[in-house]
Amino acid sequence: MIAEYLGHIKRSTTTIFEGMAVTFSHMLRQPITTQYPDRTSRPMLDLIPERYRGFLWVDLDICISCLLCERYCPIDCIKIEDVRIDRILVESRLDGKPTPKVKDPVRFDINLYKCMYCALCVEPCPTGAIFFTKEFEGASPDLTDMHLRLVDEQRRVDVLAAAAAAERKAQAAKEAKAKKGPEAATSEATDA
Amino acid sequence: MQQYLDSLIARWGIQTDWQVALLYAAGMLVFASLILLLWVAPLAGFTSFIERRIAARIQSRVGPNRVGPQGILQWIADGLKCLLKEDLIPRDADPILFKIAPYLVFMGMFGTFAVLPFAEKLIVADLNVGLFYLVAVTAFIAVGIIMAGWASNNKWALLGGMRSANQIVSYEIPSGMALLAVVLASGTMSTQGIIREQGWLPWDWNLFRTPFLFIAFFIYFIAALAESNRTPFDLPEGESELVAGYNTEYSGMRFAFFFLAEWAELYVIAAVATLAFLGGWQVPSFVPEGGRTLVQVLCFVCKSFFWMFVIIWIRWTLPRVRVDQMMELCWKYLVPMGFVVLVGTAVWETFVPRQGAAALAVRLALFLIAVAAGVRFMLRVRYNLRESGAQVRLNPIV
Repeated sequence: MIAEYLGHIKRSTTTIFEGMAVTFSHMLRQPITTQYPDRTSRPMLDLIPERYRGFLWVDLDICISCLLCERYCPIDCIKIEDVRIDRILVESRLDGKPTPKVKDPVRFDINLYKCMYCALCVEPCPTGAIFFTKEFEGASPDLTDMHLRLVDEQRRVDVLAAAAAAERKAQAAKEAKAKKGPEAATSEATDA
Repeated sequence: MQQYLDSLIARWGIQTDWQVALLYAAGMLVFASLILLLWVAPLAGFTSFIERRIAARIQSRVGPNRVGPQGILQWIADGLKCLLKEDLIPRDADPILFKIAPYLVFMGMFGTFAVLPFAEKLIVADLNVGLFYLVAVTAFIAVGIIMAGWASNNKWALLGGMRSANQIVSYEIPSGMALLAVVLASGTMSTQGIIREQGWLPWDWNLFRTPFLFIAFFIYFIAALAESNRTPFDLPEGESELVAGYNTEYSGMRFAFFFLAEWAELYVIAAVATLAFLGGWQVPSFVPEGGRTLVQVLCFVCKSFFWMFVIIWIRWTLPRVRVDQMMELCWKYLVPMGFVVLVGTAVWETFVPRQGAAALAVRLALFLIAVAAGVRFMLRVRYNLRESGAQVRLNPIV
């Protein structure tokens, strides 16, 4: 009875003693806090891990406008409008393989306030044109600030001009083919 | 101060006794207000900052370090914020009681500063019932807290207030008995008198005077923690059970007053421990007369700050106890031990001569035990640091 009573006292003193030693040792350790934004040990971009899901961005030069990202987005925060252009080959960001490109977007909008960073648009992209950056500072007093319009006015004009040129070329080729078609047929026939 | 008042009396040609008494009383009030402005409020505020920094380091964080150099002005920013906030009073609350409760709590804390010495010649009032007054005036805090809990018309607040009252009533007994043992040993209740009975050497302190007073210190310290509602006895404001306890409904400056009182109460506990057990302002006799008061103030304040640090450190080490555990600790352990200490001190003071070789041997032995405990503690800290393999950072500036 007495031994149990004294045992309680002894146990509480020794355990509190040990606990105090543990917390005191913690007080002497280096804090692990990263003091964002102005007192980081390295620039913030270096501290962020490689696979960090920051804001979406699109490399429009290699975007083949397949609309997979728009279709996969579960909350419809991507809007794409595109036009036909001359077939060109672009290099994929993922493996460097050449991929044919026949359409170019004239409008590529991403509403980053709706985006939930699920990566469902990034995974199917055949050329790796849409990807996550390491940027994350999106606080803004204006809701439209984070509504990305990736195709600017200049690019839109250029692409539309290219598309018009491509269309004219296609038209000309078609007309030439239509004009040339019967002649070719007759020449073939005569050859035969 | 007194010289200035005497010169005033001479200049105004005051003769009658009651006028002189009135002038002295007014002078004392001004002096007390000066202490409030220049010592207590900044002390409480600064303690809040220090507590947050220590808590942060114990949890491997950094803590407030942006407002002013190393965040040293954080408490001013917090106070200003509380001043600017709306002062809400719930519709069904008792408005009068609700309003005066924080002032009662503050009064109970601030009243104790009247008898807390800083140096041999620096004390507001050296009452001959100093310790008794101190224990009595602290009871205002219980009244204020239960009033706040009742007036809020909120079940959590009321539960918090009831718990606090229950806790303070229970723990007044062991803390009173531990202090009574000191009074028995010193033969006086005056705070200055108790300090004069001790010496500047550690083994001349009351703490190491007898084995009973050694235990009395721990009884006092635990009971004082419980009386001021500090962790691990912070049941009245247990966030996980009672939202915020008795101050749930308070906002703005009234809320700040509760916390001002709580942090200043830390200093009160530490100062009472210092004066009753740790030799108070006693400094070696070779300190020159000119700087003596300053050295005494430094000595007293440093000892007090050490114990404030220990209280803060305990808060971030121990988890909150349950209500039944709290009651068990008080009535099954501290109160019986308090009786043993009280009777033991009485017997010891009667039969062991104060200046004898036996008394000195006991003092030195107790002092050595304390030193051994300190060394063992440091070894454990070193062990913990080594085993964790963590990077050590002694520099507090981050």
